[in-house]
Amino acid sequence: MARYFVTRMLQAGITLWLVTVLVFVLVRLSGDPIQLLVSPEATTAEIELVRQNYGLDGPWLDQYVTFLTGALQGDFGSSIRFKEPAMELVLERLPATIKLAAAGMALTIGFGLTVGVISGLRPSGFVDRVGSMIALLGQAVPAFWLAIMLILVFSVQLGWFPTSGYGGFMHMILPAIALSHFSTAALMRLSRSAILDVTGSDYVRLAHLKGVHPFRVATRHVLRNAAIPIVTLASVQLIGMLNGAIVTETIFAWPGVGRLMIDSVNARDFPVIQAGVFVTAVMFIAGNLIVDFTYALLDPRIRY
Amino acid sequence: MTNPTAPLLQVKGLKTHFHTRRGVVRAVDGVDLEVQAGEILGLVGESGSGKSNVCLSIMRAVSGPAGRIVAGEVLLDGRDLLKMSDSELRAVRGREIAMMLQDPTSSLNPVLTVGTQVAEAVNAHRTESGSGVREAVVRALRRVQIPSAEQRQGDYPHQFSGGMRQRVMAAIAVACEPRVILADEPTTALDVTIQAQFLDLMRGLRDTGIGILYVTHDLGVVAELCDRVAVMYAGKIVETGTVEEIFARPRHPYTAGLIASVPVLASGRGRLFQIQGVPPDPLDLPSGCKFAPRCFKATSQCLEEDPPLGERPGGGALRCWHPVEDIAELETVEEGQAHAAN
Amino acid sequence: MPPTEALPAATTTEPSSAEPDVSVISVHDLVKHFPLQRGLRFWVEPPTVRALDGVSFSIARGQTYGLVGESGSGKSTIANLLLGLETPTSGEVLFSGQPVQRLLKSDARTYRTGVQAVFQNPNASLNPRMRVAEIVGELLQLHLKLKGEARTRRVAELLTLVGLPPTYAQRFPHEFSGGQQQRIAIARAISTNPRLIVLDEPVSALDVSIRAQVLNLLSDLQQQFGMSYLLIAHDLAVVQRVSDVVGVLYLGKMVEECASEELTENPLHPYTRALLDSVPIPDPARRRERQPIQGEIGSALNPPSGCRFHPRCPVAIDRCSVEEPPLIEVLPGHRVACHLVDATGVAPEPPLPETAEVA
Repeated sequence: MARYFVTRMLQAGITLWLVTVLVFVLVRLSGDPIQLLVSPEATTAEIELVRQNYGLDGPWLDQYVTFLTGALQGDFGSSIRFKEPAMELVLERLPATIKLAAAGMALTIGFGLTVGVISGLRPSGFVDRVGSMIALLGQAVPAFWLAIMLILVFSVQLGWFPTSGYGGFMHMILPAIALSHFSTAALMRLSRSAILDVTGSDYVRLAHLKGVHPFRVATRHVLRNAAIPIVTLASVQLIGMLNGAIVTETIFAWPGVGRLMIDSVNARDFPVIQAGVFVTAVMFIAGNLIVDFTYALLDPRIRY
Repeated sequence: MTNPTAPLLQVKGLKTHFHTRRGVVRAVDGVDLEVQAGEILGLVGESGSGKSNVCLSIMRAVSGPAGRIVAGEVLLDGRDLLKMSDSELRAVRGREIAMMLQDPTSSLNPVLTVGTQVAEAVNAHRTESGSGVREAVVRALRRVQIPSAEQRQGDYPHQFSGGMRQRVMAAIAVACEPRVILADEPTTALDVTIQAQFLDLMRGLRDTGIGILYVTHDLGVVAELCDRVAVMYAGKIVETGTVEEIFARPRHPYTAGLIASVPVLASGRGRLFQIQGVPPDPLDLPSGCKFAPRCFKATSQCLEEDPPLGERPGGGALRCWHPVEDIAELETVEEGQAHAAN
Repeated sequence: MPPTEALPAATTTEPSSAEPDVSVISVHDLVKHFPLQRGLRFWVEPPTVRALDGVSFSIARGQTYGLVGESGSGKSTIANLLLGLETPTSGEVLFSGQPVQRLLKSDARTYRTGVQAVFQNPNASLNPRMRVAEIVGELLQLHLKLKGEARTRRVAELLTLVGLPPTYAQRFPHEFSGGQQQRIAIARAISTNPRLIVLDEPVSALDVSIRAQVLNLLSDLQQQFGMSYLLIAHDLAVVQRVSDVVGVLYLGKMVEECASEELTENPLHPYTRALLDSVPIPDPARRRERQPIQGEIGSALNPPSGCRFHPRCPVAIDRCSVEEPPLIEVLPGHRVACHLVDATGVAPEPPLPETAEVA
């Protein structure tokens, strides 16, 4: 078990480092940010000066070393647009993203998991049939369309919710639905099939043959074993929600990291891009580590 | 002591059908058999014979909703299991009649310890204190000769070898000291030397008075282990009798063919007797005797009329219009086969 | 009917003799270890699964060599090595005197047409998306470059040879029963007129009533075409019936090798005897009281020291746990690896208390 932990941690560290390299290279390959900062009439000398100011002169390897040493101390440079420390900008917006993700996850688990489990325990029943239809729609409909439709119907027409902006509970509902519809559908289908899969297995059959009450069989064998793949997927979805809220945040004007990122990419504000991607990567890798460890806890087979 | 002649388990006219999209599969088509206390009855058949479904039907654990028991009685000490309520059935399952499944790897829950799974069988039927349950678990594990039972009950199934896992299955089966055990091919996946140990274990259980229905396709195991044998083909019993009788004087051409076609140690080299054709498609069974298309003794009567199960000369039951009288008949057929090959 | 005279097995079962190699395939000190993943202490050599630890034997032309063993014996590993699916850790495999590893690089076609295989599960070994004609014709096209009309004719020929009507050529494998699928696999295997066919548990996945058909077919084909067979199986009765020579494997080593009849007439190694004792015989008249062998089959990760069978051996002495017995020929054509089998080829007697201990 110790070997499992340590290897995973080492792998995580290496992955993170590779991410920094990748980001560094890609940002510089996509175009020269200096061009956006100076006026078109600037002389070569002026451009050089600006370039030096932002540390974009010199060979890439030097730049990378500077970047990496700074990164290890939490210093990702200053945003080109806002002239503030890039990392601070990202961290400021992190809570908003987390809140939204949490709301989305609550919906996914509350609705998706429940319906999925019931569908699996009672296949072809009413819940199963209705749930399958919803799942299909959820996976077929694109996020931006759903977001706009939700606003149109529930904000504009019915006036139940505000159309956009940051705020409390009422502000969160529509964006949470838009953010989570795909994962809810996916979790619904996965939990259903995980349950069906386990129900059909030999050990469940044997449990019935022992004379165990069907309720005990369902809780102790079916749910317990189906939990493994379900937890794995649910965790991955949560991580995804933390990272991929760009569309939702933009449409609902939610001041999260996603929106910051898309704006920064457009403006070639590479310090912020680097900082944002780094934070995203850390969350993603940490999340995966937690999933791996949870998996080991649930399934004794992979501990050894 | 119970009446020595009354069987522990009696199955009468059992019929189990599966409704598939392509038609009805009569997996078990009118099966009669009985198991006495302290006896091992072998149930022999190939894939499609219905032998596994006989066991599942007895326990009322047929895969639904497609599979349903449509007729028959299953009497355990006179009480019909098929007519019991769900709660009555649950009290009987695992307690008076237990079943062992074929593949020990998939039949044990991989995330629960072995001790938990054995304890589950105990807890389902007895209200004991925690320590009482633990003792019962260790007792069961010891009874099936799992070494270091105390320590090993906290281990997971994947930490046991195949043979040991099969013993765990046996421990689960005997945990509540049942009267009857249904064993569905428990040794098929085991190595020969491990199988020998397991058969010894079965004999030991039989000697304590348990009645065992042992399903297998291995004639060697039948000869070594069983007291009586029932042969199944296409959902029906075609021959039953004591093991000595059946092997010495097999009457049904299928039984005779099967015995002749299985290679035996130290019986020389050369061709084997072969039963022609292939086992029938359960969705497209021939009319008349189900074995007739492959039978070297078949006549037009056999192709048209399905023989009933009748008395067998020498004891037991037989379902055949033209039984084999003498093993020599097979030798003649074998010569013909060898000739055709050359 | 198979030839009643034994083929010249006596001389060729002795590997690396001074005589020219007349065997179809010979195996010399074959070793195959599978290393496990490295642990945290990655500078330390990881433990290895010692699947095969020095096995030597040879198969003569037209001969059937049976390999028998339980789990962990290494018999499947031998099949893979002979088929070139794995490379040996050490030792070599010679095909008609030429090292297989070299042959595979320089002239793969000779080897691939010369050695073919039939596997245990016909359902898994036939590509479900290919028609029978494609399956059987695949080798013809690949190695013999047969096309069109010529190939169709040859496929029809092959199907007839294995007892299937040529009209089946356009069907898919799933439309057939297990026995028929195995026949298709056999048709594919003989398509290139191979010198050796490796049969890895060819009948254990088939229904009992079909096994005789397939076994008879295999021996008929051998009579007709004279190829050699390497039959790998756990069913001793099948192996004995079909083979000319039998090799018994235990935990990666060969413990006994003898003519097929000798296996039951004069088994020498304690493991062979225990194995024979454990095999259930389909004849209640021959039922016997015996003490089944105790203990589990050892682990190939950490095999017992000295003779690998010594922890379970009823006649083991001190020497057995220290020194590994070599495989030596004690009788003509009969090799054993046991310290207690003396030079005249007499088997060690099991201790008498065996019968007294029957509970």
